[in-house]
Amino acid sequence: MIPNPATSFQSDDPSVAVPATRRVEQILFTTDRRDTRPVIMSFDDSSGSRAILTTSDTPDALDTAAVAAILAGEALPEAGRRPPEEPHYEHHLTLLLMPEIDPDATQIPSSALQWAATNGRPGRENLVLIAIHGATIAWAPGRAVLMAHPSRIESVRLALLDFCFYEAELRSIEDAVSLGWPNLKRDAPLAFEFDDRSVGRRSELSTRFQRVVALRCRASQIMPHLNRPAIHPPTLASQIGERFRERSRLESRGDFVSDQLEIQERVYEQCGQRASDYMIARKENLLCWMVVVLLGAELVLLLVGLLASTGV
Amino acid sequence: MRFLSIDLLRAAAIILMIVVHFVENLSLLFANDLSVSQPAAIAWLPSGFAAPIFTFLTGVSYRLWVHHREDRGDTALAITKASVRRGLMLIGLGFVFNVLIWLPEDTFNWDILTFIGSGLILLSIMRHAPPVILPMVSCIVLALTPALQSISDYPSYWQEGFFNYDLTLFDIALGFLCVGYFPICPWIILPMAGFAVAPLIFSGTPHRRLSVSIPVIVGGILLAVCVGVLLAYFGTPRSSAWQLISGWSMLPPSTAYLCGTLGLSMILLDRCHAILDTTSQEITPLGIVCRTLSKHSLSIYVLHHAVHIWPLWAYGLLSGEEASHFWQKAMPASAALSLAALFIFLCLRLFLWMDRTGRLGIEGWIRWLCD
Amino acid sequence: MAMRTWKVAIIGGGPGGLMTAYLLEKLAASPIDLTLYEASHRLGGKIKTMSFGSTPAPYEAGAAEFYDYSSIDDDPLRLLVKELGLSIHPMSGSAVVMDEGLLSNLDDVRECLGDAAARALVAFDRSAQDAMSPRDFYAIGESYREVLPQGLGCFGELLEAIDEPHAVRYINRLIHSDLATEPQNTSVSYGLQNYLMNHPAYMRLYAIEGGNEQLTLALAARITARILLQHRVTCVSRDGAGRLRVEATHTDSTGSDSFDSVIVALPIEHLAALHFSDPVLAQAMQRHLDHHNHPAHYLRITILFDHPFWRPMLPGSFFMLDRFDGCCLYDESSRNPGSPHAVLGWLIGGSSALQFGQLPDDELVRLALNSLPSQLALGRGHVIEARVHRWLHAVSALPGGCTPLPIDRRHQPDLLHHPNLFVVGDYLFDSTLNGVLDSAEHVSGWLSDLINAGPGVLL
Repeated sequence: MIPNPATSFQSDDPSVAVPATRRVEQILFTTDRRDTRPVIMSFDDSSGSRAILTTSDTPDALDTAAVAAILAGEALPEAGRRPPEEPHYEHHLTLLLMPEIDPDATQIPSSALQWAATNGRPGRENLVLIAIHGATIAWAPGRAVLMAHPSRIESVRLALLDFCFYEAELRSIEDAVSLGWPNLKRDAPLAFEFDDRSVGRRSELSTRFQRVVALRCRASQIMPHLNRPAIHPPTLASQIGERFRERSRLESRGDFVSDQLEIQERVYEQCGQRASDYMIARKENLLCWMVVVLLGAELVLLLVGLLASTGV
Repeated sequence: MRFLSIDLLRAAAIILMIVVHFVENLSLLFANDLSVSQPAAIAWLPSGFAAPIFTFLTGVSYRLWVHHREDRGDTALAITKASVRRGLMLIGLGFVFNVLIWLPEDTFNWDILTFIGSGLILLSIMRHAPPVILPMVSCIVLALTPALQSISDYPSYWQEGFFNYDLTLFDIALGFLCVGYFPICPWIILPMAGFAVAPLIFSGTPHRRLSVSIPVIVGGILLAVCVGVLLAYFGTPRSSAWQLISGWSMLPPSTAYLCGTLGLSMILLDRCHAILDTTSQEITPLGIVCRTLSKHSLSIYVLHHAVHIWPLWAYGLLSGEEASHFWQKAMPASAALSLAALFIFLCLRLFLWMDRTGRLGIEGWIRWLCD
Repeated sequence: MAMRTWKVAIIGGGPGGLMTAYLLEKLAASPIDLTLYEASHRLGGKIKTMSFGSTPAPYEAGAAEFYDYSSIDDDPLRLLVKELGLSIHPMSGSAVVMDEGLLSNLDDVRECLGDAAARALVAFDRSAQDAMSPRDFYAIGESYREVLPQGLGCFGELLEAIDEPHAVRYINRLIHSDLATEPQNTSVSYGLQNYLMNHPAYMRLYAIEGGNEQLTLALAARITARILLQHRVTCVSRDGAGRLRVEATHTDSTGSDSFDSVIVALPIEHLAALHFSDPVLAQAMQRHLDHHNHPAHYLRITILFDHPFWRPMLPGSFFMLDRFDGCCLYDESSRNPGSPHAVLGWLIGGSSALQFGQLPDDELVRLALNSLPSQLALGRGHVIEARVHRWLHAVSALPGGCTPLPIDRRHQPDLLHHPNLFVVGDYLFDSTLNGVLDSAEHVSGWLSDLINAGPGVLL
């Protein structure tokens, strides 16, 4: 669905619109429908994902303190994240919003940039900094700083959340796929030949296959959003979204992860096929042996009877 | 890798075998008379356990040997070839043994060596079968054996207390199948059972000493069947069909005998493995004795026969009689027991010395030739 | 029996001639002897990558970009670029400078021109997309046929139907440089095409890394044709054996040669100067010219600055300027990522190009600098060097309402008496580089079929 440029990126809940002052927002992307906290926006990815504002209603002083802490180069307590072993639909984002009326003030303070870049992992800087048409955004996985005119900041914020969600989804799929490679290398021989020693591993292989299929389903659900065409005429929000998608190579990464998932799925599918064929062959083999044994018993009986009746 | 449980049980079987053979070949006591009414006969009952336990352990050892070869990367064909070579070697050795120890007329008496060799060859084929086939074959053999013994008129071959056959193809074939000393039916049940339960006992997971495992359960069921069969046998008139399955006898091996000895073998091996093999203590002197006797079981088998049978034949010939004249009547049982004990002691010293000096026994030569 | 070698002459060393030579050598199964005549000292024609004298800063003096249709269907030009092993650099730009305002997106339009203008712009965009789908858009370029119903009038009338004047001006500024003519002078189809070419779903733009001239250089490197530079063909006639004779002057001497077939791959203005001695052929060529000669004009003013002062505000590959009746400013140095140079190129089209093209170069440079909006005025004092390139009468495009000839007829002006004379040109399609490749493909495929069919077929 290509959004109408005139109405794109409007918040679901007007009460969570950006206030006029600087503020730190803790945002949770989740599929949990039971969460009753304010919903900033819903995503059209068929799993019902939403961006929820989890920052509690705190006095302005606390927000000020959080902003001040960031600008002073101090760390904020981070929300826990689910381990990436399996695809999950919860991602966190800490967003520093800096509405700025002065058109010449387009530089984000270096302390804020540093905070966004480190993301709790010192030394790993993967910051994307985009300054376009009066808006400046610094983003790294899990953190972002947004500076724009108050009249534009809401739409840009929503465009940023849209990008952050799909990027986080893609990254979680990538992490899950990369975790699967060691197992895949061990399981790959079973895609060619299944033997008796591997019979006990069928449930393990089945679990891994289902996991890969689930990842593939999730990847296919988000791919249209990674590859969405540019809208025309563009809005600032759409331009920022396109620019972020381009800089973080979402489309290419989506293609790569799809290719990897295809390989993994194919291997486990083959493993399943081989296992199934083997079990069927084993049953057939068992029946054959039973027939052989019964025939052998009959033969022995006949032989003994013959020998006893003729050999004395 | 050697397991103390297997060595212990095999050593016990070897010692029992030596005692039984010394007493039964040199002494008149208990010759062909295993009437339950004699208290001494009841005390002599364990004598019938040596062969079942030994043949059961043959199957267990063969399974562990196959696993070891597979883990080493040997192909199935290579393993089969080695098995068949070993089997044929044992069959040939059995024939030679019969000729040299029991005189040429007993060449085809189908004693335990030829049986173990035949069993190895059969197991090398059966190991490719699905796991459920082995118990199935065992049950069929167990069920068919009384009928086979009846059809082949088993008692007619054992009228003189030993296997007496004519040198005809028919008698030789029948002897191999069901009427010899250790015919395929039903003795094959024991090594097959050992082959089948070995993975369950030696699974690699720690056994708890008081746990009840599948071999114990199956062994218990077999013991229960044994008791049930005996009750049925002794509780029914002599002319009924139950008589086909006999009471408790080794020659011919009765249903109760097979079930009872097999069940006991399973339980003993499982429990010994749980208690002895999971501890990492240093080997004790008893363990060394068991290991030595177990390692050289084939050599001991051949040697102990030579040691007590050849002098018997020589004495008979020197006395101007037939070679077997003094068989089962050379000395009192107590003297035979003493000689057996002395042989065990000397034998142990001999094979300990051979191990220390690296000399090969018959087992080592077979391994060198066949593997 | 020895295979006969076909002698073929190609007149014109621009993209049309080079593409034709390349494709002909690829498709012909029989031996051919190709001769390529070029009047100037260089190959490439309208594709011209040049460099400043003071600094080795490259810029495009001719064709600015390539059109990429590969998102809709096969794009032969894109495939050719890939086949030649050339790397491309995507180009994009959405900003329009209007009334001193920088309108980079719809939000800027709403802010500067008002909500009504933004709504009108969106409505026009929707109606344009409804009127012409990407597949229609592609078909026009592929076969140069009208896909919209007849009787819709000219594109200018369509714009006048928009009741918001700011939106109309915005659209005009957006497309004027691509249109190369006035909206009143072109069809609805052509106008919509030039509007929708800004839409990423319809078309994308790209340049070739190292300069667009890499395309013609790569083609020239791969052909085995005899290339005669500075050989101006003056006359094409028929010899007694039914073949075509080409006369060309080189320095002060004149030479001629006979060929089994001649392909004229010249721009319209140079085609008009070519003499055909056979009266029948001359008449046919005149008819061809009369039908296709609708000249359009381009003027390029390129200035080297000491730093890219415009990039913080206008970061794209190009932006539209409302001066010179609407022109396109290319950030030439953005074609080469990481380039240390700062080059802006003004592309002025249509009657403005013709009008301003009469002025001297210094005046044009001054006008160009003065055309910069106030936000970029600080750059006026940072000029290092400037160049002007005039492409007057260099392009031709059928005006609105004009029915194109059947495709074979376009490329073979005199079927009856001179079946071995062919014409190749972008003006025979959509006046783009994609169009010239389509034309070259058509002729080279046709001629190679004839050659492969054997002797006697041509004559």
